[in-house]
Order: sequence, then structure tokens, then C-alpha cells
Amino acid sequence: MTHNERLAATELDAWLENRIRGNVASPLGSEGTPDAALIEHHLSMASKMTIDPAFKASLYARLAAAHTARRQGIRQSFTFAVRSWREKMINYVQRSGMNTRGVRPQFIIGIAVLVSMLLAAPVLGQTILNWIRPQVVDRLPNNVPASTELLPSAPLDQIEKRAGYALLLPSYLPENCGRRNTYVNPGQRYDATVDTVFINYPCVTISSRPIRANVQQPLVGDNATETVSVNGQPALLIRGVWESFDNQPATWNPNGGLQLIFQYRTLQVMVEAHDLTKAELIKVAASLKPR
Amino acid sequence: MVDESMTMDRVPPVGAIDHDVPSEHNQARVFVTSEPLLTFMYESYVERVYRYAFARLGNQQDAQDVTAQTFLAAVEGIATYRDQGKPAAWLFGIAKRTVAMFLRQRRATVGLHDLTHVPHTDPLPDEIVEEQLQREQIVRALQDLAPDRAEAYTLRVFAGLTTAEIAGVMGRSEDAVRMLIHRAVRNLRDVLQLDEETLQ
Repeated sequence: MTHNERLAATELDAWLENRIRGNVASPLGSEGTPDAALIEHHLSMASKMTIDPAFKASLYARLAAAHTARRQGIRQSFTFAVRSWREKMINYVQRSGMNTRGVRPQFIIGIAVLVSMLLAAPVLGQTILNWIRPQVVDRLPNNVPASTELLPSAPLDQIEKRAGYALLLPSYLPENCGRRNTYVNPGQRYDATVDTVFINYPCVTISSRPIRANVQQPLVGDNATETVSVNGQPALLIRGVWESFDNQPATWNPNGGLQLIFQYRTLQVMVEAHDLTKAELIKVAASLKPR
Repeated sequence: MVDESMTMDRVPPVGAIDHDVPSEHNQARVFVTSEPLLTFMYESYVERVYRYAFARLGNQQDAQDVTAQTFLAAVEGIATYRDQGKPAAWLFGIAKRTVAMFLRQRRATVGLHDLTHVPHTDPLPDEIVEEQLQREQIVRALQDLAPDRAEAYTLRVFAGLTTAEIAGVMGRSEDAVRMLIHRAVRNLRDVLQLDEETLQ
């Protein structure tokens, strides 16, 4: 590339920029005049390449449909990702004789989680919190009782009134996990027992309930618990979940997800996720505030 | 059960619907106003993508197909858009790949004449015939250029992108783009002059 060629290229570019933007363009030198004529001709051709209004309108409609489908697809895929391990829990609950017809999976998941915590059992695990003592077991008992009657969802105000405490909502959620004003915004579902509230985001489920005398104790597999800190307070991290395939007895899958249990004032809070890292889960937990 | 009130509370606000325009426009308005970036891309670039595709491919049907595929791909991939501040580069990157795919398919199946020559059953006015011939000439001339020169020139003159935007699309420096365009113009002059002489 010679110096002269570079200058000519720059001059042509400046002329083109003015011409395209509708500004007054200084004429090119004699050497550039044929170039300008050629480009003028092509610009004139370009201006005649107008898009067919009927095609444009139909493209609008197609894009609108595609966008809607995409949003729904993303919502479903995230929900599926979070649900996958829970579905296995549901299988277990169904095998145990619960009639799940007409009940949303979230309700069943809630029951499964509660059940695993409500079972009274000897304390074998290390005490992390004053009131949580995980018990290591080889297998989950078969006859799992439903602990609480699930109530239908309602607006948050109604749920709060029914539960009797201010609900905790996260101020932080990982990217693509239902944050406001983002493209991926699958929304949330609010399911509640009498005083236990489950808030499901695409990537994380947050449940809370008042701390009561009948302490709920989780049953876990080997080496599943770890002490962590949430906002400087002790918390119990459980790695894994009970899984059951083809009506076989449930086994502990140490890679089945993370559950974080901690105390927030007078509430027992559990934050659980399948695909989040430990750090992300703790960050979500630390961001919980009464709404 | 979904708490609709909360779900709606979390959904970004959707712009007002204009009831005086056809329903597909309203649909589009809902679509675009719920995603400002796509709105911007659509409104700013749909015509340009079309002209770019038209100049590269030479017929209306393919240009429409490329335009549609480009924007549908943009909708599909908007979540992966990371190039903040450079939507043209991202969008025309998709358009460029789509055109390249069309060209590959075309080479494998038909000759150039089949592409630019649209058979007509009715006689056409002279102006239209002339315009079509000119378009064929441009397409043929562009296809005779080195691919990156044709690309830069088409993006600049037919799509109206800035040099910086083209640099983003092509992954080249602005200086390199200016030079590509400059050389493309010189090549086109030669090619088109030769074309006219051949025709005479």
C-alpha cells in the first residue's frame, strides 16, 4: 500500500461518508471523479432496492412469533434444568403412594423437601446450626408422609398474610435467572404451605418458614454437609439429593444439586439450586431481604 | 399456580399499542418494545440488510430470505449478543454468514445467469428491463472482485455502514477497510468498463 494510495482511500472514504449521510461532499480530484461517478450510480441503484411492504409486514409478524416462542422456550429450558433433579424426587414421592394427580410439580417438590427435613431421626451429623442436625442415612425410608397441605398460589400480599411473616426476596440473582428487565425473564411462581413459602426462580428455589420447636432435620448421604457463612452467620451447605429411578430405592446423588440452610432472624431459610456454584448460591442467600 | 400479578410485575414494560395500524404491526410493536435492542436493530437495519443481500445475491427472493433469516437468527441469538455498542457489526456478521451460505448453495446448484435472470411472462417496461440489467451487471461485477473487497464495498455503498462498523463486521482495521473499498472501486471501474466494451 503506497502513501498515495492510502491518501486516495482516505479521501474517497470521507467523500463517501458525506455522500451517504446526505452532507455536502467536496468533489474528488480528477483522479477520483470516475470513482465518484461509479459510486453515485451504485447509490442510485441501492436507493431503488426497496423492501416490499407486504414482506416487511409479514416479517414483523414472524419475528414477533419467534420472539415469543424464544422467550417461552428459554423459560421452559431453565425450568427444566432446575427441575430435572426434582423430577427424580417426584418419582420417589409418587412411588411412595402419594396421589399427585392434579398437583403441580412445585408442590410435590416442596413436599419432598419438607419431608426430608421433617423426618424425626437420631442426630448423627455435626451440629452446624442450633436447630439443624443432618442425619446421614444409607437410604430414604419408603413411606414418606405428606407433612403439610399445600395451598394454592396467590399474590405476595396474601401469601405473606397467610404465612405471617415478611417474605424474603433476593436482590441478587445470577445472570439469566429472572432478573428484571433482562431478555431472559421467565418470571417466578409462588407456592405456599400454611407457613412455608417456596419462591421458585428459574435457577434457584428459596423456601422459608418460621423456626419451630419441632425441628426439621434433613436426611443426607455421606460427606454431604459443609459449614459455610452467609453474611457472617453460620449456614449448612448440603451437596446432593435423593434420587430414585424406575421405582428403585432412592440413592444419594452427591452431584444432584446444592442446598443451603441458614437462619434469617426468626426464619429458617433454604436456598437450593441444581446448576449454581456454591459461591453463587451463597451470594443469592446473602442478598435475601424482606420485601 | 403462577402468581400472575408478580410475574407481570417482573416483565419489562411493553410499549403502547397503536390500534390504527394493522395487527401484524401491533404484534411487532409488542415484540420490539419488549426488547429495545431488537427494536433498534430492526428499525435501523432491516432495509440495509435487505439492500446488502440484494446487491450480493441479485434477486429479490433471496434478499428477502436472507433478511428474514438474519433477523430470525438475531432473535434466537440475542441472548448471546455481547458486543455492546456494536449492534451493526453483530447483525451484519449474521447477514454476511447467511449470504455466504446462499452463495455456497447457489454455486453448487445453478449458474450466475440463472440467478440474475428472472423469467417474465409479460413484456416489461423498458425502464424495468434496464434496471434489471444494471442490477445483474453490478452483481456480476461484485462477484468478480476479491471476496473481501466485494464485501467491504457492498456494506459501505449498499448497506450504508460506516467504516468502523464494517471493520467490526469483517474483523479488520478501519484503514484496511478503506483500502479494500478503494481497491474495490478501482476494480469495479475496470470490470464494468470491460463489461460495457464486451457488450458493445
